[in-house]
Amino acid sequence: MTLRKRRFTLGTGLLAAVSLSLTGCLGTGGSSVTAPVEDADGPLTLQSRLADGDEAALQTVIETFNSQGGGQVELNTVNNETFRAQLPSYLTSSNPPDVYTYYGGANLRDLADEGLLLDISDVWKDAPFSDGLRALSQDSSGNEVFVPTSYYWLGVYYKKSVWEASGAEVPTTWDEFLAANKALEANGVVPIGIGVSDAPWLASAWFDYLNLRVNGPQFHIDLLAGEDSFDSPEVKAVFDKWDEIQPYFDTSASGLSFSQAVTDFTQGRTGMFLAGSWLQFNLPAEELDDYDYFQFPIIDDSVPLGEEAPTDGFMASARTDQPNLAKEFLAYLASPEAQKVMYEANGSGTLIPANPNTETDLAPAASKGQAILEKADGLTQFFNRDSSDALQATADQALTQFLVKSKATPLILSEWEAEAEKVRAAE
Amino acid sequence: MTTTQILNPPLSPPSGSNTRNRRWRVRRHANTLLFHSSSIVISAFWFFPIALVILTSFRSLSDIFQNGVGSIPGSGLVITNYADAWTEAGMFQAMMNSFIITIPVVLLSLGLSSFAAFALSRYRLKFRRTLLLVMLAGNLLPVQLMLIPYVRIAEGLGIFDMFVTVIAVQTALGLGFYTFVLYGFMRAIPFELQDAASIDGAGPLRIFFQIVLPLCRPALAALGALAFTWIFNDLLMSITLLRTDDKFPVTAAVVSLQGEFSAQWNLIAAATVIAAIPCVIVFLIFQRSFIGGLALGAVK
Amino acid sequence: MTVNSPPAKSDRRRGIATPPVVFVLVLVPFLVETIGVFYPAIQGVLLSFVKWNGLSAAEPIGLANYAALTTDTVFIGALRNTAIWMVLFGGLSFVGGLAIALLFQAERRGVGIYRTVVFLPMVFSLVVTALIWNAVYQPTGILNETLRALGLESWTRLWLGDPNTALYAIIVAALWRQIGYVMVLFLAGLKAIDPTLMEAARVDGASVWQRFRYVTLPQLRSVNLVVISILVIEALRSFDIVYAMTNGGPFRSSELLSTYMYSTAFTGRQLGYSSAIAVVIFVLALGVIISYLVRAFSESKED
Repeated sequence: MTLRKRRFTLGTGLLAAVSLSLTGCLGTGGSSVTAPVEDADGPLTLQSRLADGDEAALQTVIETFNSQGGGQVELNTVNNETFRAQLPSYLTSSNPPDVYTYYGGANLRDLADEGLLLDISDVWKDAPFSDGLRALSQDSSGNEVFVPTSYYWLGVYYKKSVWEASGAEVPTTWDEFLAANKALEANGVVPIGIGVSDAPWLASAWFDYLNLRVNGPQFHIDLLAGEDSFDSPEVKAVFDKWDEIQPYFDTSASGLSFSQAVTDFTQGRTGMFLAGSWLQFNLPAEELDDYDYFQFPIIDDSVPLGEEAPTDGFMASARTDQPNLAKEFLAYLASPEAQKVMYEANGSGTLIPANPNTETDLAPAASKGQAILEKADGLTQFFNRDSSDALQATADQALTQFLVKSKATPLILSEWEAEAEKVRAAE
Repeated sequence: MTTTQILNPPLSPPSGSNTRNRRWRVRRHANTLLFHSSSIVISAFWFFPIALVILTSFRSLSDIFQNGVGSIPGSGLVITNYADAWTEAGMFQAMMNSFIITIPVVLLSLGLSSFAAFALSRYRLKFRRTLLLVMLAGNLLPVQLMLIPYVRIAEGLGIFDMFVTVIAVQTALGLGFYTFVLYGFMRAIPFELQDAASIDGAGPLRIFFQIVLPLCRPALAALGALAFTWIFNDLLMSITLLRTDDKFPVTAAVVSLQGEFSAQWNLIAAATVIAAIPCVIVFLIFQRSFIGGLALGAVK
Repeated sequence: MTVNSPPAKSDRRRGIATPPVVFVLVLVPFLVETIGVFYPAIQGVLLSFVKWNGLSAAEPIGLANYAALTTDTVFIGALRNTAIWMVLFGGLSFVGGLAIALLFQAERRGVGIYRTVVFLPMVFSLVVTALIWNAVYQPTGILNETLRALGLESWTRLWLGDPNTALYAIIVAALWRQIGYVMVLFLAGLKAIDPTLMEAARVDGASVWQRFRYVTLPQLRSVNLVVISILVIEALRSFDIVYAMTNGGPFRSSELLSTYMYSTAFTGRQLGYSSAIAVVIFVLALGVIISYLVRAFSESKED
């Protein structure tokens, strides 16, 4: 029990120190804590939800950090869903993992507002990140709690050979988009591929982009934050626009799994797939050159251009017993060197390093994505990252119903708003 | 050909003339044929998805992306997935962890349960039926109800993220059910055997180890195989009570191979096949001990 | 389960005291179960009386969670689906497991392999087997393709996308998994039947159905008890397979109490509400089994 007491004592002591308010001895344990900002011994635990290439990249950058002799970091990888479910348990634990992979946005803010995340404003003091990234990494009082390391883009992916065969042309405006759909359909290709039986959130990509294009990024953010309602006329306008392309969606979408939908796409049965750059992992390696993506077409030139740029990075627990090492590690991850290592170790070219000073040659797809995102007037993350998992669940319901037209749109929207109200009330 | 003969093949040919023997032999062959054909049909249906899993474990990743998960493989088959799963995906470590957890749990929970079942079935204890029902009720509790309490209790005791915790919890969770099953089996054992022994001066423990336990062998074998499978394939407890990935058993390790947007299904399939092998072996061993039946005949 | 010879043990037992070690034999396991199961369970039940998101402090709200359950349409739908699941999954597992155990009970050549094949689904991780079943049910998957090949195009469906079929499609996959387990239990039970009883019945000229009904079934009574208990527990616990295939969709048509409990806990972050659902599941399980158990116990000839 002494160890527990000592850790508990250290934990409270360091917590106080982090808020810059305490000096001198604390605690009743048998420990010798004189300087309150002293780290405990042992390796820093990094709890990660990344797999495959991302995990390999993380391992490489950790090895580099460890070899620098500043401290040791140990990686713990768990399944993504496990991580999501266990995160509150991790953060409220008396002996939490020190550092975590995570993403920026509303979820981060919620965790930070509960006081569970380490304030790392001093890491951010000289960081060259843009204001947008800074805003994403802060809690509600403006303190930074997160270090972004990469972000990615969403685009409408298509298979060049299929489009050539159908005589479809890459669109930039809405009318061109409709024309491309018609051409694909005439050629016997299902224009828009999607599979929602086990991945209903794919439909949210369409909702997000249509909302961004019709109403602009500010409305989208406000809507997801609860300041607007889902049965408002603006949202109705989004679905009216969606109705124009709804006939082009795969009619078997509700019974189609994500992997099957991707297979249909790679085999040319469907013509396009709105997804993040992570779609490239699921494409056959030999054929990769046949695939490309285009920016979601512009509907209204007068509406500010919003783009989705989900941002991933790292955060630390407020209860860590090694805050100094944690900050050191996070600072290292934010550095251009580390981001270069991660980008190259990942090797897929689907992530853009967050630090603008990173010296690395981006893959063509990534440079294209970066260019698109730099021109945007506003950046959002994705439905669940901008709101919460609970609200995402309501969107899954509503959007699947819309895709299969199980009810009239106004009814779907009013039910969606009712569900969203319940979610907001529960928070 | 009646179902009689399929379900209960006569143990010996009826005595009689040569012609009758020949007819009986023909019947017997047809009987065997029918048994095997119906069994093969059933087994084929059951084995089919497993065959697909095994097939997937021999495919390359680009083949899966190219042709889909449940499809006929296009390009050549590979055997590298198993080696990759064993070393890179850490299945070796995970397998060790699974054994470290499963074997103690099976031994402890079956041991404790057989003690309890013995006491409850062979002696007229007061409230024994209530006790049995209460113990069984423990298994009716949905485990999700207790996940958070387990985490808090384990953290409070300082034993979070340790094997002992998982072993302790899994043992406790199985007790009610195994006691209930063993109670049913032990109750059937005639009391004459026990009386004979206690007249000879044997105490309860002697009776337990020398008379009752051997007679429960089929039940223990069945429960042992089921318990092993149950614990070995458990996922929820291990991901709740363990946090460090090199402590994860095979179930959690396999699940960790799944990414957010993609998964190396060939690798995961290979890992799954590897993870299944111990349970298959255990089952094969134990199902053979169903043979020999009981020594109930010993009373006669 | 009745014993072979009528026990006169009530006479014999009257004067003999139970040896003290016997109390220890039963109390130690009971204590372990109390500490390991009942104590955490009570804590869990206490959680159902609070509102808690797992991050901030818990807020006691008395019975509000339970009150909310009564008006929760998703909960009521999940309750209905769970009932369907229990009856279909439970009933068909029982019948299927028994039938296959009867078929495979004789120790003849090859039966070990057949038994193992039927048991295999239990030992294969659900992550992958759910993936395979998912693939089977796809619009262009094996099931639909087979139907088309047989000329039954009109029978093809969006198995996992049609609210009318999703639950039943998953039940088939769940049965495929569970029947081997039930088979093993029945095999052990069938092995425990005194073969002389069977011989006696056969000699008496009983037909196979009569032998089954009057010898096998009664002898299996305690095993039936066990199997039914397991099936109720497993039916209420069934979560992984639904989660992996449809996550309760489409439109909650395959939502079970267990999946709803998971989503309220880990997606909705309403841990108190989730605990209330868990308590309901427990009460349900108890309710289903208890009458059967009590009746079965009081039927036994022994005190």
